[in-house]
Amino acid sequence: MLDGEEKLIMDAIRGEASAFGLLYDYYQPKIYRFTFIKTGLREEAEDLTHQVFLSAWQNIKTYQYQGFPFSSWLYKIARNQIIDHYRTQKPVLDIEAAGELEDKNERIEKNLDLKISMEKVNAAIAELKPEYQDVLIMRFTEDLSPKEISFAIDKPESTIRVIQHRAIKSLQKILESKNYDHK
Amino acid sequence: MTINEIEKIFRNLAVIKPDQNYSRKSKTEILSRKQAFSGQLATARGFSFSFKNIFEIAKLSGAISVIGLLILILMGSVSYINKNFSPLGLEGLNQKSLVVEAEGINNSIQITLQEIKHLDQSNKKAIETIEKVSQNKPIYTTLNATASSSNETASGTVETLENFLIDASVIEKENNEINDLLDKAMQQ
Repeated sequence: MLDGEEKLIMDAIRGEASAFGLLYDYYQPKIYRFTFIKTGLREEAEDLTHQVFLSAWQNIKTYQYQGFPFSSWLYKIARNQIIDHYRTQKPVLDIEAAGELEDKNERIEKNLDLKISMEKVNAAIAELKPEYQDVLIMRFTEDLSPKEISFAIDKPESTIRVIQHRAIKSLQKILESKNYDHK
Repeated sequence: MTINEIEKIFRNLAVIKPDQNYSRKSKTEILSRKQAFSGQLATARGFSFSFKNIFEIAKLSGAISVIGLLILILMGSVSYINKNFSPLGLEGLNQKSLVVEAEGINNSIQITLQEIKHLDQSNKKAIETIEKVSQNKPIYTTLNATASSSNETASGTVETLENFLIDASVIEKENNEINDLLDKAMQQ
């Protein structure tokens, strides 16, 4: 959570662009990462992230602080944007996209102790249910608490823990079935 | 693959970052478009005029209008029910109908009084006419007077008879006039 976030949000609600700019700087990489992992395409992730923050900026007066960080509200918008996006267009993770993803994440692979290519990992993640993807990304990549995730995806905290458990099991099965084993 | 290894994969995805140029352009565009979309115009008094405010005012006005309309409908319904279904709406208890009925009775009384007055006047006229007629000498009185005088002189008798015949025609005319007056009086 960003220091002085509540004040920044209040200033942004009053129409101060600079306050929203600071919120954007802090949360935009997180939302971009979320949309990028979900879509697997840079351009789509950029478009979706742009739409998320545009929508947040235009509707920030409707935001009400309920004890959750601003990120939960942004993730909720992002999820809805992605759902809308897939309503009109099915997700495609073709060779080109996989290649793009691989190029983009060369640095990531270098840092991985596991010898699994990011292409394969992303392909495995793409096979998960959208809900499983959301929970795993929010929980492990963005380090949100189950409570924060529960607000973002409108489900009880206990359900989030169950979904997380099932998502891990499901991903394990997918990786094992495709021999995505590390060496 | 263990759970820890999967968690590690996801944690390593955190190094994914957006392009700096894209981020800068996107931020600038979002913050500028907000001002264009919201239509915020700062007036000289510092009042923040926006389309959202107009929408809020329109919403409030709409709500007030609907409430007003509902009140009117409610009042109309109450009035209609009271007029058509209320036990107080019986004809005998209705003030308006009572007034109308009273006026009708009053008018009929006035008409009756006028008739009485008219008959009274007619009676008076008739009495006056009879008195007027009675002031003229009747035929039999003239005949008696003539008969008494005929005994006195023969010459006088002839004259008196002639006068009687003349007077008789005059009396007949007078009688006719009297009858006409009586008829007129009766008609009135």
